[in-house]
Amino acid sequence: MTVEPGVRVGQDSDASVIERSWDEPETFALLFDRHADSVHRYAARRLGAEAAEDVMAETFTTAFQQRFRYRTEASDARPWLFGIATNLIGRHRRAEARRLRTLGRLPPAAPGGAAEETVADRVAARVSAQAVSGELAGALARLPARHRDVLLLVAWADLGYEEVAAALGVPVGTVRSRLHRARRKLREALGGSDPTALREESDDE
Amino acid sequence: MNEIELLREWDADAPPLTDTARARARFRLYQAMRAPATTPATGRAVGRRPLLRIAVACAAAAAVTATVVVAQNTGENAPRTQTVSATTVLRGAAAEALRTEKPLAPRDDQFIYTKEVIELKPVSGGHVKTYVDESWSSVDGSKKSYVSELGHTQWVPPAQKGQYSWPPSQWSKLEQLPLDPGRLTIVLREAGTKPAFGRKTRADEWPKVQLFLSGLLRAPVLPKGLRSAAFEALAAVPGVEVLPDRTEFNGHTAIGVRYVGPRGTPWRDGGRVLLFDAKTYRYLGLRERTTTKLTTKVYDQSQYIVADGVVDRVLQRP
Repeated sequence: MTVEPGVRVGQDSDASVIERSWDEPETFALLFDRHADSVHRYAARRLGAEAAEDVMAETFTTAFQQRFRYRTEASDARPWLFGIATNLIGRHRRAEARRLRTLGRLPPAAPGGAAEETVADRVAARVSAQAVSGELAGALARLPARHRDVLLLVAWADLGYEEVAAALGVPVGTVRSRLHRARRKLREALGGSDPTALREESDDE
Repeated sequence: MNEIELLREWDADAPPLTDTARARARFRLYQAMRAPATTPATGRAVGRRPLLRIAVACAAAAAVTATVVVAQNTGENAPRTQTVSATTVLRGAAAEALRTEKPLAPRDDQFIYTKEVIELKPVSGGHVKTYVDESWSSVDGSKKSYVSELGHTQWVPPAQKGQYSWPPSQWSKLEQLPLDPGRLTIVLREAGTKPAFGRKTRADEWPKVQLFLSGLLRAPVLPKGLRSAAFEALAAVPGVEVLPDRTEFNGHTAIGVRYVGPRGTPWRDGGRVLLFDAKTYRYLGLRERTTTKLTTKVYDQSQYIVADGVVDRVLQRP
């Protein structure tokens, strides 16, 4: 049996942990230990540090209180947790929009030492992303919230289409169409239909 | 590089989770764990004993029994006379409960009194410890309850807003549960969402259903008909089986019924055993294997109610 790296199965799976927590509530702490960092990072990227801590904590307490509703045929609990986190983030729409507008006005981070950094592909990508952070933030701010949710669950929570659908409780087709529109708007904001050009420019520098 | 990869590489000025923030969040989760378990299916209630998890200390019995005999599985000497199914036993228990239980109508300002015997027998052999726990639980959860758990007594504060527990001790919430076994199963299965009475229960939902049912059966006092409905509903749960050997329990020859869950569930090796009188199928009590947290010593724990009733105040007995 092949298993996706990082996805636990069987008695070690998230589903099994949740099921055990029905009878032994303290078992739920295992789920916190596994996913607190990724949920926090997702929330922090969307709302900033202060609100992220609150969203992350509330995500797990909400999940704990709703653990009997968990459908245990889904071994990986990330879509469920990120769905809860996204709902909670939805209560901070204005704060998120303010934050994105602020980030959109900030000057791009200085690509210090770019000549050496471009040797590593990953570093180059990061430099590129930082260089266009203002455009990214501005574009995200202008997206409808439901499009932004889909886009950021894919990009920042690392969920697949079906997982995003499960997280948001919408059909997969809806996820695909929202993501398509969100990506198109992002591409336009980044100044063209082929953002690959951005990295090539950076590489050339 | 596409826009998704650009987004992934952009940290959006997000700081990593600090140890302090992690500890604060973990504490909030810990506090939620200390609160009664959420069961929106029936709304709020109180009553789960809050501190000791050394053993589950609530027995499911409307029956009042008097003789205390150490419960032991008679093993090889037990007559292997398994002639009944779990369905027969549980339906018999349902009929017996309906026949013997008295209708109760406790007021919100009253307390449910229970006197319960708990016996811990070390699996490795040794002295059997016996505890007699008397508890007074506020009917509507609005008053302090006084509970004993393995001899440790404590006051339990009224339930706070937003706290839910299973089984609900708020009488009005118990009364809202359906008395039809099929509908009861569906309400418990849906756990607070709008019940889809037309949908068949999926295989993965049965462990949850049996958990809620066995939790409900722990309640010492239930509205008339509800215990019967819970036994009937349990009879329909796939994986409920009769134990092959008869057992002595509290002076009775008893038949054990337990739930064995599918692989990957905590009940794969069998959960707690409900014990019924071998002749009348009257519910007697339960037995389960428990492990103490501190010493990790393994016990066979037997528990049964010897008295219960409705009283006006704490420390008053029926």
